Amino acid sequence: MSLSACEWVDFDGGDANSDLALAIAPARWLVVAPQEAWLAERTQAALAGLGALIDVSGRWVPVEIAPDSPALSAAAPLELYLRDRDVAALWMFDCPVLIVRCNGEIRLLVEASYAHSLRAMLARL
Amino acid sequence: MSLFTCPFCGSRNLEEFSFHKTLPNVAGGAFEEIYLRRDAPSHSDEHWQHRYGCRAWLRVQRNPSSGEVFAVELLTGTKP
Amino acid sequence: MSAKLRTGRRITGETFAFYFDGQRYCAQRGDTAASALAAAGVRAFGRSIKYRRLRGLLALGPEEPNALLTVGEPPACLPNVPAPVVRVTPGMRLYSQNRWPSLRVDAGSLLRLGAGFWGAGFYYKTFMWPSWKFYEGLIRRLAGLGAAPAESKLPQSKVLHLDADVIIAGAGAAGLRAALDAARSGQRVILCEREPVIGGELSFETASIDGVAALHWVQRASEELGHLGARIMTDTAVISARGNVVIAHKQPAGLPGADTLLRLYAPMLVNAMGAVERPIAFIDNDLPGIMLAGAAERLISDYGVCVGKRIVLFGNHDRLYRTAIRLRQGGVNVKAIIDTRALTASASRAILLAAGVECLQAYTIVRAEGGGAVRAVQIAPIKKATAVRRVDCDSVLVSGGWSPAVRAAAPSDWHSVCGAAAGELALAAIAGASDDDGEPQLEAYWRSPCATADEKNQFVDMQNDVTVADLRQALAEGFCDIEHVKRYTTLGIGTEQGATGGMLGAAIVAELSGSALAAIGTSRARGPYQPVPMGVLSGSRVGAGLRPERRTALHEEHAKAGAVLELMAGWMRPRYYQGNGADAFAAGIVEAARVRKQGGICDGSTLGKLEIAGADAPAFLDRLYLNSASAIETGRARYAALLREDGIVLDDGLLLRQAADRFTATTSSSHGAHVLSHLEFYRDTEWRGRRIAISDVTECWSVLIVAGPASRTALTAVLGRAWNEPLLNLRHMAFVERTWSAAAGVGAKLRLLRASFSGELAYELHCHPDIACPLWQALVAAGLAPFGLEALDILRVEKGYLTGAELNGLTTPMDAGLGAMLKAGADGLTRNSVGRALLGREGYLAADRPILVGLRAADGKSQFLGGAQVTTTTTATQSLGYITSSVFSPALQEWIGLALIARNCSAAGNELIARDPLRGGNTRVRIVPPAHLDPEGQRIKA
Repeated sequence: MSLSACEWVDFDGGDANSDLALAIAPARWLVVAPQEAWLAERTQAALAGLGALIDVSGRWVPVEIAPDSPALSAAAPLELYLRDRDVAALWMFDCPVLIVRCNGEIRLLVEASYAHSLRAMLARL
Repeated sequence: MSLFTCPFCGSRNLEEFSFHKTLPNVAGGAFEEIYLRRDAPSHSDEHWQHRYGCRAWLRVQRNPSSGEVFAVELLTGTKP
Repeated sequence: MSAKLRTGRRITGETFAFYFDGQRYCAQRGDTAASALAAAGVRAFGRSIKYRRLRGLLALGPEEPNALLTVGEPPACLPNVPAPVVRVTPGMRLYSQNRWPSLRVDAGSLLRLGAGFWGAGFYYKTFMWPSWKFYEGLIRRLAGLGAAPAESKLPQSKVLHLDADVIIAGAGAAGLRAALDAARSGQRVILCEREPVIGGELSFETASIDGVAALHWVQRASEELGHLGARIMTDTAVISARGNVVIAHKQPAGLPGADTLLRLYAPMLVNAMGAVERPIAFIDNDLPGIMLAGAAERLISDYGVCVGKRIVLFGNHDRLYRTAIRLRQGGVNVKAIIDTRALTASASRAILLAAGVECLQAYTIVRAEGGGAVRAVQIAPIKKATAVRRVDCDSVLVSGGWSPAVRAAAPSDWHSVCGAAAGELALAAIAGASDDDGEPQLEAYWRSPCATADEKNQFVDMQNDVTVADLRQALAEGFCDIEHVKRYTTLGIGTEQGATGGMLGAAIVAELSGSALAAIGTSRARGPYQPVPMGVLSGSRVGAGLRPERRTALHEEHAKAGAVLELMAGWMRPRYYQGNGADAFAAGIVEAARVRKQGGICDGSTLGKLEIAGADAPAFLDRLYLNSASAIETGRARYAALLREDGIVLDDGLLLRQAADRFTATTSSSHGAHVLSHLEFYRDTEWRGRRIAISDVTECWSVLIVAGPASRTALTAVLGRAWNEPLLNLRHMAFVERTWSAAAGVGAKLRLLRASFSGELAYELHCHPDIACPLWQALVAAGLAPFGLEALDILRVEKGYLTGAELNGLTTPMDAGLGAMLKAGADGLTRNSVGRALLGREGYLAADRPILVGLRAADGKSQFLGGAQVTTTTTATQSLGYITSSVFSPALQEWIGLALIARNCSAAGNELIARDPLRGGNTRVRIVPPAHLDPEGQRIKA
């Protein structure tokens, strides 16, 4: 089902202060299944005006995909897109996704309302 | 089909970017900006959004006749 | 079938049968349709597009202009497949095109009788009276190449995105050399070759490269490239190249089927696609049996096919002699070689002379003779073209040189050209070969001398039946630019895109106009450089794969309840529920009536929601929205609107204040993305560096809309004790946030907002998607029936509320009745915000500027529909405005609507006519205030 997640939007030139943070946009990080300790620390940082914490639970849904799936190379030149980074925000078959490379594996997150269509599309390939 | 380099994402398909408008290049208000601007065929100063990528706003200076890009400035998340 | 089996480099010896125009023929595995049919002595492959002249093979590649066949039978046939490209399979059925009733006897060839009539540009000058429609049916049947299939059994094509450091198009000598250089220096290489085997022209070379025979060098290069990690793709043609992206089409067996579309990304593209042989024009140079010399050479070496028994070669370079020797080695009888050049130093020529072949210098072929195929040629010295001599032959091999294949994009900083594509024809220069043939010593020669009256039979572009006469006519009529000549005469359009005729046409235009060829140039090539089936470009993006359907978390609930779902603004939404009526109209009325009488529940999850946080958020929203955000108290909401820079309303929605520095803005379902970009733009330009965070949280909140007299009771029953107090005390446009859990579930956040779009007592429940379904089920069980968008539209029109029908990109806030938002604030100052500056435009203040009004039928019962124009009388043609929305109101039992009418005619009580010329009818209507029902809003405040 959909994931519990938060976005940290930075105002001050800092980062999200977490190894799990995914850099999805300039000055914006996504943390999936955030820990209480991190949430508390970030809330303090927000109070100090360093940034804003926004709960985006329910937005992203994981989609299972084999690393050698033809779907990945049918959508975009992922080796090029992930050459210097581990996270890429893009639209795959007109669905907004995040592609995350973690320990050599590829994980795919899609916005919840598109999940059904994206899965059908991948099955069709 | 072309490639364009987003300052945040790197090399991406040009189709992911959305042209918004050109920057004002004439002094005055809204009327001057809309009706009295001067556009040169060799230089255009534009606002783009990486709409189907990281959604960053960019300032792109380019030659609209040849497509050559002179400068790309990341606006989102940076201090002026 | 011949007694002795043909042998050739590409055929395997395994034989089978196939069919051409219903007749049975024999082929070997590896044969193309061209080679198998030529081997069987077939000379006529089709008829030409305009004059229906019988035509045969000219070239042996996708540039073949004449021999286009249809594979298979209707309705699932594949038309316009070039015979030299399609590889024959057992039982394959092939048909010639453009002829009726048969290839031999074609009714359309009678058109030849009017040959002068159909010259260049005839489309623009004829078939005018009485009208084009009169002739259209016949012309359409006669015109075109092949018949379009009505069905397709083709499987879905694949798409592959790959990136590399360098892409090389063409795996001939130049391409392989470039690939080796790049791969050896550590670059990642992708090498594309459109033929099934690599090597290109090296198949015909006896020279040595790097100390080994050419073919052996190809083998070694292939192995080395494999070791170095280069990717070699055969059957893959580069069809487009632009901006660091190369598109290639892989089509095994030369036939649509298991196609792959490749999108290749690299900083460098090397065009090594070689050069395309071109013909020379002479009278009746299109007869079957007249083909390009290279095609004949390839037919014999790759397929073991002799194209004739008495061959004449005609051209303007030394390679002719090499070709003649090769043909003779293959057992072909070469009668004569007609060389347009005065002198040649070719050593091969001496050998041929000694063998009894007639070798003429400074001669040309003036005319070819023959009925269904060439039987003889008339040759003459170039200086004395009237001294004609007849030479019997059954095959003429022409070669006027080679045109570089640079149509695949002009060289630029990321795209380089090498080899024959760069005009380099000597193997020594291309690949460092030794003992090669050297330069071919080409001397340009484009067409034989000819009387002007005969120019209509000198063919320049075979596929489009463009002759020298057409080019002369185009120039005479003022079409001097080669691009105009192309479009006026159709030179270079069609499947081969001027590959064989383009350069020839440009040179003849240069000759006729007295200019230099370099000044004329060739017409600009655009991708795709070879025809590609539309299905390959679309791949899996067809049918259900064309666009995604967004689903809310409540989708299954709607399906279970019998909702009729429709795609609206990308979302699947319930229009109505089946049990309530036979169609949307009937069901909508039932559902809307029930909401007002009892209550109902509706899925509003598709509403856009943006969370805006940060210390500068209130000031930012004050400037982006028309009305004030900072004046909203925490826990309250306000109906607000956003303007575009030109003063037109961009969207409306609610602003909810969660904290001093946190807001949620709702947007309409269809404008959400636009509003987000609008806010992000201002955040990153004029407000850059301020503390403003904006996130799209549309997906994070499911929205259940509960409306009607019974709504509060149902909520009290379902939400539990913790919610009793808020439900009792929540004021209109206020909200609270708590948690809620289903019977056995974990608690999740729930925001209860009291707001109404229906005009009834109503609440919006914004909840985490995981609890949306249990919450919906519980509320339905508590007595609230689901209602769909049809009913919601009825309810809001009854109240005069706005949707995209009124906020349609043309209305200002004054037009739409939102003028109250423009009023000064509590401090007496009017704030500035995006779009305000242009609200003072004269056009927006004109007396006839539209304004929102309500409409009823004057007789209290007639129908009027959205889109109808409003006028003063039934015959007036001046429109005063139009109807934006109209519904049959169950509450009022009559048709009601909203309209945008010129201000100066919009007084309440005014009677006008709703004119609907497209759907029929004039209805007398009366202007009323937009809020048809309960204008004081008593029901909302219950």
